[in-house]
Formats: sequence, structure tokens, C-alpha cells
Amino acid sequence: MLEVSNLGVRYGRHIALQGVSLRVEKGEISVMLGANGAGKSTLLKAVAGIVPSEPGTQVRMNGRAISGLEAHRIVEQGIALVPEGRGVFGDLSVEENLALGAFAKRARGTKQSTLQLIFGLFPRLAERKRQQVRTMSGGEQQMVAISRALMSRPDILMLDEPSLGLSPLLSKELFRSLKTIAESGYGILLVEQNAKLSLKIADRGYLIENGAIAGEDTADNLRHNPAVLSAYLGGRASNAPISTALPIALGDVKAIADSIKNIDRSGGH
Amino acid sequence: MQILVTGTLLGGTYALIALGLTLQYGAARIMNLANGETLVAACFVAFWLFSRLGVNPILGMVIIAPAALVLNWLIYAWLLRPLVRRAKNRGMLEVDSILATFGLLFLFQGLMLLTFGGAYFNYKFLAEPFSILGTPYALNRVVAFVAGVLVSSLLYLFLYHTRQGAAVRAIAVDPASAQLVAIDVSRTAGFSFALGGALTACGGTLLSTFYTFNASMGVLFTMKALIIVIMGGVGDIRGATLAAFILGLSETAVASLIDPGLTLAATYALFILVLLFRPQGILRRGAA
Repeated sequence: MLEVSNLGVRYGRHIALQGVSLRVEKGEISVMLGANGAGKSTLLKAVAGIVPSEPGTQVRMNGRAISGLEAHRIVEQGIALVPEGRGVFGDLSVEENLALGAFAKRARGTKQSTLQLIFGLFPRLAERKRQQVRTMSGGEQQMVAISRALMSRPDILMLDEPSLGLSPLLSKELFRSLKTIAESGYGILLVEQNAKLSLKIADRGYLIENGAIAGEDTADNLRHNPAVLSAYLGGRASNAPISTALPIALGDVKAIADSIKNIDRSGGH
Repeated sequence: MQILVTGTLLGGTYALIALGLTLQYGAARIMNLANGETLVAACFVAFWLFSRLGVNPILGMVIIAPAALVLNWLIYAWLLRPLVRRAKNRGMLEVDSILATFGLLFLFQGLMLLTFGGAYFNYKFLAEPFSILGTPYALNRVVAFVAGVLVSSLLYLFLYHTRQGAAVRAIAVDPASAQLVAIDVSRTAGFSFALGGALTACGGTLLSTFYTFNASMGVLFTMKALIIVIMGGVGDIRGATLAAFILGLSETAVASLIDPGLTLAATYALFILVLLFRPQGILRRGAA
């Protein structure tokens, strides 16, 4: 389905991403974990065609090369992005947002059936069809954002920190909905700070550090890996020697501290 | 009562002109200072068609509007798109487009001065009385109003009931999000700019049937359109329409109750009040 290899992004002289490779399959949830400024948002933006990627980058969707395409063409190839901060049309109603979501040519015939899926998933949106989105709560706006992306009938749904600003309870609900969405056949690429909840629903996890993939494994393995626990899940750092825990260089507290210092320069946020 | 009717009739034409700038500034994000030049050019073409070929100006719109559409599309493609590509943010595009269209203003104004000179023009089209509630009004103003309402209604139908129209509204609200729903923002912006030019040209054509015009009055109408657009809230179609009528009414009221020389002053007074108290536009809630 979605295959990314050797993805690089540069903001001026700052290298935001380098040599990133990953795959997302139909019906599968992949989660990208990393500290602030590690390049997670940039990764999604590059795949979506919003920021240009370096020469040598290869992004293939269903076997077709899509790197270098404009953002609106990438949507037509079956990749929808729910950006950080949601990116909904705040001045428009729920209904209008959803209608615009189905603007893509690939979505024209499937509007009604997608709407049914969405209203099954988020009944509250059906009740509030005519409400102006800007006047809704954060959780509801996130529902609108995800639904609008689904309206384009994507094969791959990418979400940038969907739980940001939501209460723990709402986050849990949100992740449950994402699981349901994946089960109905969508591939999901998720960027998250909330490692605990996202690894619970994910099939695969990637760890990103300083613009490069620092490790990947099944979500289950990552969830039980002491080094990951200490770095991303708030576990005790002394449980295991970090360097021998995985064939990957993660959990290095210093690296994480560095990447946090990099936030300002990354431009990804 | 007479003020109300005259003001409303004038507001109909203003609405068209302002809707043109709304599409150019609100949707395509180009602050087009040469907008008034499109209007004046339309006045001259309508004048020429009428006095040389005897073409009814209302029918003349059928030629003038598509011509303005093409001309504005070319201006966007050649002059403005490179600026849009280069701009890192909205502020930068605003500055660049103001400078570029400022130059365009002088170019077009110079060309028209060269062709027609600085004299005032008008022509007699339906200059006969038409009675509304017992009071006579100039028939050409009534016809211009009706035609203006018709064209605006077509625009509403387009914007609110077609796919392409929805795309225009989407880029007006949020171009960054529009690209995420497969809207070709660059192409849609070019189209909005061209359509805006066509609307302004329709407004100019209608204006020429009852108004005395000359080659250098474009700036005045750019300013009026800008005031209406800011008053209505940038990119807000309904707000701009309402603001156009408010401007038409207040200009008429000031001209007939106080002094015709004060209309411009009244216009700007209104503008300042809006900027002070409702900078986000008359119909919008909250900060823009």
C-alpha cells in the first residue's frame, strides 16, 4: 500500500528528516513515536505533499510513485491527512465540511455510504450537522476533521497528534474509533505523543529521533520493551540496560533531551 | 422613502462591484488595487458598444463579462501567480500584490487616458421616469438594480450549489485545509480572481448606464469596493452584499439630507466606525 523509502526533508540548512523508510498496509495501524521536534509532523506533511522532500526520496502508493506530486493530487491517490490543529473549515457547518471532504474525484460515488460509516462512528455529528464547526468542542472538532478526511475515501488515513488537547477519556474514545476505522479496511499512519494508548491499538510502531527512524517493531513488542517503556511510557529507566535492550539506539535520554532542544529549529510544529 | 429607494438601487450596483473584489481579495487573496480600472474599462466598452454599434448595455454584459474573465485570468497567470508561489505567508503576498496591482492601476489608467482623454462621458440609456410607489425614478437605475440582483443571484447559486463554487468558498475560508480535500488551490484562486474581475466588469457596465464616468475615476471605486469588503468581512459574501446596501443608503442619505459633497466623507466615516467597532466584519462573530 503506502511505501516510503529514503525520505528526506530539509528546511533551509536544517535537516528535518533523513533516510526515513516505512510501510503502511491496508487495515493496519502504524504509529510513529518520538519527542517533540523529532520530525514526526514533517514526515506526514512530506508524504501529503505539503512540504517538499529531498531528491532521492521515494514514496509509492499502491505501486505508483507519488513523491513530488502536489498535495491535492496526493489526496486523489488515496492518502488523507488530518493535520495537527485539525485544519477544519471553522466558518463552515459540519455538513459543509463533510461535503468538501468528498471533493476528490475518487470520492464522488461513495459519499452516501461514507456518511453512513461516519454517522455510525460519531453519532454526535449527525445530530449537529448544521452547527458551525468553530463553535464545537475540541473533541467534536477532531471528529469533524477525521470524518472530513474519511469522506475522500482514502486507502491511508494519516493523523497528526489527534489526541492533543483532548481529555484522557476523550482520547480513549478517539483511539477506539480509530481501531474501528482500521477494521473497516483503512490503513492508518498515526503520529502520537501518547505512546501508551496508541501502542495499544497499533499493529506496528516506529521510533523517530532527530529526523531518523531509530527503531521499528510490532506494537506488542514495543509495549513490553523496557527501553521504550522508560523513554516513551514513563516507566523506570533502571529496569534494563538501554544499550542492550534493542538493536536500535533509542531510549537514550540525552538524545531525547537534544531533540527537545531542537524544537524551535525543526519548523515541524 | 425616496432616499431608501434611491440608496437601495445604488446598493445593487455597489454589491456587484464589491462581490468582484471579495472574490479577488477574499478568495484569491490578491488585494487588487486595479479593480476599479476593470470597472472603468467596462464603462468605456459599454459606452463604445452602445454609441457605435447600438448594443444595449445589458446585452453588452454578455460580451464584457467573458472578456473581463479572460483578461483577469491572464493577469493572474502572468503577473500574480509568480508572486503567490514566492510568498512565504499571507502578509508577504498582500504587500507584493498591492505593489504589483498598484503598477497595473497606472498602466491601465494611462492606456485609457491615452485612448479616451480625461473628459467625462455618459450616454442616454433608458433615461425616462419609472414610478415606484408614486415617486418617479430613473428607469436606467431600476434596470441596473434588477440586472445586478440577477447577476448576484447567479453568483450565489454558483457558490452555494455547485462543486466549483464550494471550492471557491473553501479557499476563501482556509487554503491550507482546501488542499487537503483535493482542491487545486492555485487553479481555484486563478478562477476566483478571473470571476471577480468579470463581476466588477458587470458592475461597471451597469454603472455606466446612469453614471458619468472618466478614465481616472477607477481609484475611487476601488476604495468604495475595499470599504464594502472590509465592512462585510474579508471573504464574506453575504456580509459584502449587506455592506454594499449600507454604503448605497448612507451615501444617498448624506447627499440628499446634508450635502452631495460630503458623500466621500460619509463613506470614510462609516469605514472608520467599522474598523473601530467591528473589524472582523458586520456579520462575523468573534475575532477574524
